[in-house]
Amino acid sequence: MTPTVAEAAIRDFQDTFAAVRREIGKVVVGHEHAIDTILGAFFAGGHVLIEGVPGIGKTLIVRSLAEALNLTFNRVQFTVDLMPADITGTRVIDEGAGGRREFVFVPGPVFAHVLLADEINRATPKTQSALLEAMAEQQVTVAGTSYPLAPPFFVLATLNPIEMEGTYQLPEAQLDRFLFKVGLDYPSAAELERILAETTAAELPTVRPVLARETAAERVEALKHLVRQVLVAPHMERHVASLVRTTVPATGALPEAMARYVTYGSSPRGGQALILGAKVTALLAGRPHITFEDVERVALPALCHRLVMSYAAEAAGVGAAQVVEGVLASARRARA
Amino acid sequence: MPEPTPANTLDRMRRQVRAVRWRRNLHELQRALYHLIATLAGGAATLVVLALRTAPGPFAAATWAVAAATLLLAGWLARALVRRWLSPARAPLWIDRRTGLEGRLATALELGHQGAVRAPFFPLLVEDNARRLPTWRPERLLPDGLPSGAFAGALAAVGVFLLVLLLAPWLRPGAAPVTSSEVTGDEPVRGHIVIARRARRQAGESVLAPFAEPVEDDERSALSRLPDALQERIQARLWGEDREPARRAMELAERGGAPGPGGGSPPADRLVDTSEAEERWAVVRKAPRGARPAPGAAAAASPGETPTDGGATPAAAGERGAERGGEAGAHQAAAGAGTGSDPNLFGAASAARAARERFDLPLAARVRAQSGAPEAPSPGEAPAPAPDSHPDLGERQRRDAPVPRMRVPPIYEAAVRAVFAHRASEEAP
Repeated sequence: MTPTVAEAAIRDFQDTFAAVRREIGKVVVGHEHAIDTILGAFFAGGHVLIEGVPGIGKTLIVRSLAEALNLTFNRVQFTVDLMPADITGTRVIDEGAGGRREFVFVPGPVFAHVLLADEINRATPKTQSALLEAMAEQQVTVAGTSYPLAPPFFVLATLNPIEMEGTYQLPEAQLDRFLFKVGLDYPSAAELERILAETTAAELPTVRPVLARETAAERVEALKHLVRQVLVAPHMERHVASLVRTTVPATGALPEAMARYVTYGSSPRGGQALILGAKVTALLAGRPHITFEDVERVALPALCHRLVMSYAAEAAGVGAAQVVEGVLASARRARA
Repeated sequence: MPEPTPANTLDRMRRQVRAVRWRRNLHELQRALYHLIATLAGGAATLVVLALRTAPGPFAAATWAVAAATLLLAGWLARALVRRWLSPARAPLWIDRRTGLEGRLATALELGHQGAVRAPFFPLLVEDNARRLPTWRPERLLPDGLPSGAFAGALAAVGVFLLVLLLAPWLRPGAAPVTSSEVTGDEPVRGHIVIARRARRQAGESVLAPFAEPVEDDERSALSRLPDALQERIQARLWGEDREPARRAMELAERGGAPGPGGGSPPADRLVDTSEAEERWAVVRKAPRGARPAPGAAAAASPGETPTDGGATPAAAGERGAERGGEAGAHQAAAGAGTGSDPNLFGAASAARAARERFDLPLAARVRAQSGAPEAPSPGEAPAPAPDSHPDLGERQRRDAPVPRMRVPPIYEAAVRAVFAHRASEEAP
């Protein structure tokens, strides 16, 4: 790839990203940082877990994203009686034209480009785990037959932090499969006023597709491929590996004051998330390589949900974000 | 003209990085050197001032303190130099940070070194770097010139050191106001100190040498003698032959009072007693069975020195002078000599002594009462040395603590003397 072509590709990525961002912004008021993170995870090829109270626009963001990219979208409301087959699909007996009966696979809602798993913690672990294979391998297996999911495949799961009764905590293995975890806060007063004005008017804002439906999937895949080509220097790989290892208390790299708050540190997937997220950030900045700042920018959504905090942390009111920020600060000091 | 290839550009970048690295390291080396000069010059100036102004004791302590501080500073400088030193691996990162290249340079060089030139974005990265090469030219990144702060510091420290050397003749403390030949009636106490010290020195050499074990100098290590030698050398260099009076004044000051017109001297007894008790004890404990002090030990004080106790006989005065001198005084004789000592061993009770309101009986003396003594030694024989069940402990105690003394009210002085004085003609009490 010549420098000119590479520059054009980067510019195309920036333009597409900005256009999608703009379209989502038409209907979603506020949450700019969350939307950027969700879009970043989408182009990095990961999945996102969104945590927020009801009614602050989680579903709207996901729906708008799918509409803006002109991709297929499905929503599954997770409940306690939801079965795995309700997600993956099932085989039914189909009678053919000649009267011959045979099992036919009926795809579940997972067969879409963008899947919204609403309130994922309300389903049983068995049903939750039905998503694992789909998220990790982009395929589902029903009755011994594997069915690939058409790329791009993007899962956005939401968690309701209140009403914890009757919920099932997501297992660590499933949490680890989400590239980022994003928290959505209440809108500010100004944002709330805008929301009220825009959603109660006669004409509701609509999202205009940025990509053509026929080519949308390929375009998105091409952009995701471009992200993967961003350069990562060995010193950046060392830096990310060091960050991830520092979060693990067993390595002894975590300062004593913080180590007692962390039971388990980040898995290697945390490092992958850091680099992939940093690659998207680098492209958005027009750079063909990642920097320390890119990594820092995605460190919180990439690492926080991967740390298993101790009871001491809960008692002391210390969150994973504080630990990750401490790790970043110590790395910054070491660099200086 | 051939179009620059990524490989050519990478070579240019590497050369420029090398140039920046050398320039920066040279700069850091210069800075460290100036800091080191400043540290050494400061330490040397401090040492010279201390050598010229303080007594050997404080000077030794100060020397080690200054040496330790200088070493610490030098270590800190070395550590700082190592931290700031640019290694080939660190140099691109440093340039990136310094010039806001956002990791372009380090990424390009590292990936180029790894052979990642076929990565799709690599040509773009190299071209981007080529465009920015002029922004971090060595002469632009690190302008010529000395590390001014460090240089000024070094210059100032060296200046202070030279100033100290220049002012050395004026840094001499006031000489001891009285020497043995200068003793006058106006300054009885200081004159007495000098007389006593001289007497002690001479008597120690002549009389006590066989009894006393070799102390201090031989036991001191070469390292502990270093500050003394250094001070001697500095004073010799800067003061030449005139240094002896100044040294004596320093010693006096170290022993308890600052010399000079305004400085008050402590009582002569106190000055003498504190330093002599140990020696006395050593003599008493170490005296071999049957040994006697040499006759005339008390008279070992310098002839011609003026006694200060007005009412005493010259002999008694000489005795007291020697007693204050410490080595061959009456205490030693009373302790170990048995019979044959002077009946006026302690001198006659006098109003002058009573006026000083003290009379110290050294408990180191192995005394014998007039009655109730377990066994009277035969005349002319020295009493057996006191049994010492813990010789090592006793030895240390002797070295570490002055001999305890018992304070006897002056009113009992005559009685005590009568009891403890040995008589030449009869058996000891």
